[in-house]
Amino acid sequence: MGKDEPVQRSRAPYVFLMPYAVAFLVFFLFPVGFSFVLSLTDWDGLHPLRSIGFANYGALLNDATFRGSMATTAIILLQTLPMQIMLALVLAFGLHMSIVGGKDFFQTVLFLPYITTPVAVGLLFQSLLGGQFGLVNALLLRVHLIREPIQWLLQPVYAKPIISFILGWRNLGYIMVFLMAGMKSIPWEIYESARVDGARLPTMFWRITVPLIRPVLSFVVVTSVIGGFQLFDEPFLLYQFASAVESAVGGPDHAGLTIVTYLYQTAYRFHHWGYAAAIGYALAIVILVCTFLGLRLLTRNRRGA
Amino acid sequence: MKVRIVLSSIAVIFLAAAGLLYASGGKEQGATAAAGSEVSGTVTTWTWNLEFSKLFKAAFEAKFPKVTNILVPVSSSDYPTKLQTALAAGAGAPDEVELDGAYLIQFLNSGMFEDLSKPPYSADVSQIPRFLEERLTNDKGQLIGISNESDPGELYYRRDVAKQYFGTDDPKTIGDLLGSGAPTWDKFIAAGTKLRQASGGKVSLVAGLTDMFTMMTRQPNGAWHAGNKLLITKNYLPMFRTLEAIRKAGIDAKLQQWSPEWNSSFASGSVLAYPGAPWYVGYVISQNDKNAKGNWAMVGNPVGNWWFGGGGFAVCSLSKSKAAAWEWVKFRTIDKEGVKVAFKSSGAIPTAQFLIGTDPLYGQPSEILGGQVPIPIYMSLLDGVKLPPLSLDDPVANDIINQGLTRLDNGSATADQAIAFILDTFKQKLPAYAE
Amino acid sequence: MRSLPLRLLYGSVFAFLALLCLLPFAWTAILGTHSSNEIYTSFTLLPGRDTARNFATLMVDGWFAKAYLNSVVVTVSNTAFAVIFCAMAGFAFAKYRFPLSRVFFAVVLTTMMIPVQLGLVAFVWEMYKLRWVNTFLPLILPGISNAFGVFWMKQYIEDGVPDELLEAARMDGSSALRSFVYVVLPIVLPASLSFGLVNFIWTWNGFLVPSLIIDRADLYTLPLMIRNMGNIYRQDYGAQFLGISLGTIPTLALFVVMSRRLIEGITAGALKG
Repeated sequence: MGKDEPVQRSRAPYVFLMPYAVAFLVFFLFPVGFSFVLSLTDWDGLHPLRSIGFANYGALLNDATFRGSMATTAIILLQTLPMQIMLALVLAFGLHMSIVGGKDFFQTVLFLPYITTPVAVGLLFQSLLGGQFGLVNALLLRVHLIREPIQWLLQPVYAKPIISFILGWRNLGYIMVFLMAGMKSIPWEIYESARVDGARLPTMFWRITVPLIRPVLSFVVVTSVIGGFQLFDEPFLLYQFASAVESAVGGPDHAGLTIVTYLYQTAYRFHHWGYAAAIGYALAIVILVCTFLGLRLLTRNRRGA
Repeated sequence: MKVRIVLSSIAVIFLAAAGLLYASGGKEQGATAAAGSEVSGTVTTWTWNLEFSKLFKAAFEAKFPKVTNILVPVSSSDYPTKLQTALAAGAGAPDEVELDGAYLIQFLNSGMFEDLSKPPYSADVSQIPRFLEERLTNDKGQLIGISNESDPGELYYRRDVAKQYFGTDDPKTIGDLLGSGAPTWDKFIAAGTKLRQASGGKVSLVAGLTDMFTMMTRQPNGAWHAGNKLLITKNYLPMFRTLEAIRKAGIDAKLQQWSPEWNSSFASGSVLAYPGAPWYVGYVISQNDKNAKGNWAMVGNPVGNWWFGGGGFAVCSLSKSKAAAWEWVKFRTIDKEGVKVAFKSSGAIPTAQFLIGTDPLYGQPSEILGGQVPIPIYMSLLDGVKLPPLSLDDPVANDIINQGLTRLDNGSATADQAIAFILDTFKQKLPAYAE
Repeated sequence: MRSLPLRLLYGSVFAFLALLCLLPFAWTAILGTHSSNEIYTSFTLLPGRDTARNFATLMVDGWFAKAYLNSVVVTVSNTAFAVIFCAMAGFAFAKYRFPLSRVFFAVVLTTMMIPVQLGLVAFVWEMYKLRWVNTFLPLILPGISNAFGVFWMKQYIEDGVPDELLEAARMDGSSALRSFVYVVLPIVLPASLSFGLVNFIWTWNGFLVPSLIIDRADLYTLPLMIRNMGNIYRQDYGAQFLGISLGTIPTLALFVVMSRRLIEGITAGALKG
């Protein structure tokens, strides 16, 4: 930033900013602000607003389901992200260095899952993992790996791996494209001189490529973490068929209950709007803390290196 | 090049503006309400069963030509959510509301519905069973809704499967076999074991534990609380132990109620019997089994009679066409013509029992049920029905109990362990209740 | 260096992943050709014969066509507004210094980190209060306040639009708006396109907010319609899968056509990030 300014003070920037500012007020500031107010009440929308101070936040600390949803969200993130990034890095490197051909083809194909709608993915995986005739069970039965169809969607132990798989499937190509973009900016001379010095591919990967795409890498990690914490669509839709119990959400024994899914359940099944708002704020705080910590970590490393 | 950019930008802006206009045009029309016999206006209804509602709308508009009935399809799981948001914001609610038993309690004392026992409505509910009327009366003594269906629960079974493995499809014999009216589940489980052996494990007596659970929690000993007293150990421990026994005997198909596989099982013949209510015939059985005609029958329940039905219809106080909405509610619940439409299309039985005597239609045998005459049977199954109390804590309580049930269902806990878990969680989430 | 074993390894991994990515699409398409009952009571890898019937189900009351149209309107409008107004805001941040500009931009950055669902309940309530429920306004207008878009555009404009050009335009008597349209927009086209495409995909697939705003079936967007097909007691899975396959076509087509541009755009934008 910091270049010389037009001499006259114009009203132009204000005009240009106006639509964004208004939208910001209406669609962001008000809801967020009102949510804070709500988090201090026990409102359900129908009875009068009644303040209960910070009781909701206190209750959150003792809420085992909330803790569970945080753990679930974090576990899914940990199960998905590191592997995704590593894999995407390696793959991007492979395409970038033309270890295999068909760069455009693979970029496009691997990006495809990203454009699917979560409703579709939920339905699709429900059918894939269905009882006796879902594709997965049918195949496993046929090759005699199992004798009875596995109830994938009924056992809590499968919930997180399935969700992680869906997320990995969806985001891998997207991340890969970003990383490849970062790799493009590394001048070829660096690789050339390294090759002359006798460096081999793995060395080049670790010593040259990874360090030099740090900015893009940080961006990808940060946005993935933020996105990961906000996870809702896939777990919600995967475990949604018109349930015998109306208020049940988030999979068997809450195994797939992410923070936002719990927020949704609290607001729209239990009708505890005040408490749901508190959950929202707790989530925001968690994300902000993690982001700052993460950025701190990354910049400190850079100075160290 | 620049011209092209400018032109395409203009086109895009134009499209966006058109989108906005199109978007704003989606609002509903206002309505005028007229008192008196010449009722006119617009009644907006939310429905999760569009095909049926269309039939109803046609009949209603034929009787009240000056009223327009606007149908808005809303999925049943979203209904209470949207209703609550609309009432909270004071805008966007339908004129006439269906208060299903599942979420009735949320709105009972909200003050958002008209008291139908007072003028100008002065509903005549003398012929409706008291326990239904009480359910729709709130703490202030206001009758906020009229019950629309009589939904005693029973077991529906497939005749061809019964004939194949039990040698007969006669309802009386099958009823005895399955323990109809018996005080315990022993006969029921024994029948299931016999069925499993006879079919080599291919056919199950029931679809799953969730089916049985749905039924058992609505039987006289199925409530989870009485006031502030928790009844988990008293009512749910024996219930869970029975479910465990059912699973151990291997007589259920391990399906989840309302899941895709469950829906498909009606047609496939892999399950013999389903606990259900009168509306099952029209909404579930004939929807899922294309060859249902004549192939089904019903019998009574072991252990106790139960109620598997809706709540009632109400007039929203925010409505601008209350008179028209009231006509709609009446048509749906206590009007001779309207109730016939419901019965013909789905087998729904009117709660106003005097209506049943007014038309030979109600005495006719059912095609789907292979010649059984349903109404007298349903009426007999109303004996001893006890509705569990409604509570604002029901969603949370049901979620906890469901967690316990899931553990039992997927084999990760025994009945006793599941109940222990439920009790622990209750202590944490709903400490106001104690045993 | 690019040894054969390495190439084989990479090759097979890529082939496997490509298959994994394509398989669900193929599978969905196949499922769309079967009747609902067949899907859950039998298993087959071959196409079925119920495509026409499923399509007929989709078209009952013209729901599917309506949902398609609704999705197009909502998504195109949202994206158009987002691109235009985020570019404008980005321009203001990038090329003008005004009081509190740094502060405001920091606020924009912070909002990127705040989850969308924080204000969800309040947002929905607000929409009901404004009587914007069952209109598309809550689905289109929030596109304007896309913090990510503003950030993206600002970065690109800052580095990609030389001040000299703007100076020259001003010397020629051009107003700010004209400069914006004729100088800035053409240069930021790749970044706009990539942002627009990502926004398009995201909006087209959007589920949570539309589900809370839209009640009326004739206003459903595609994801809502697919989810709510059939009535509560029975869903028609065959028709749903056909709907999914057909609904993926616009994003698929757009993506395939624009993929090179998109990747260029991401590349360009990422470098500045």
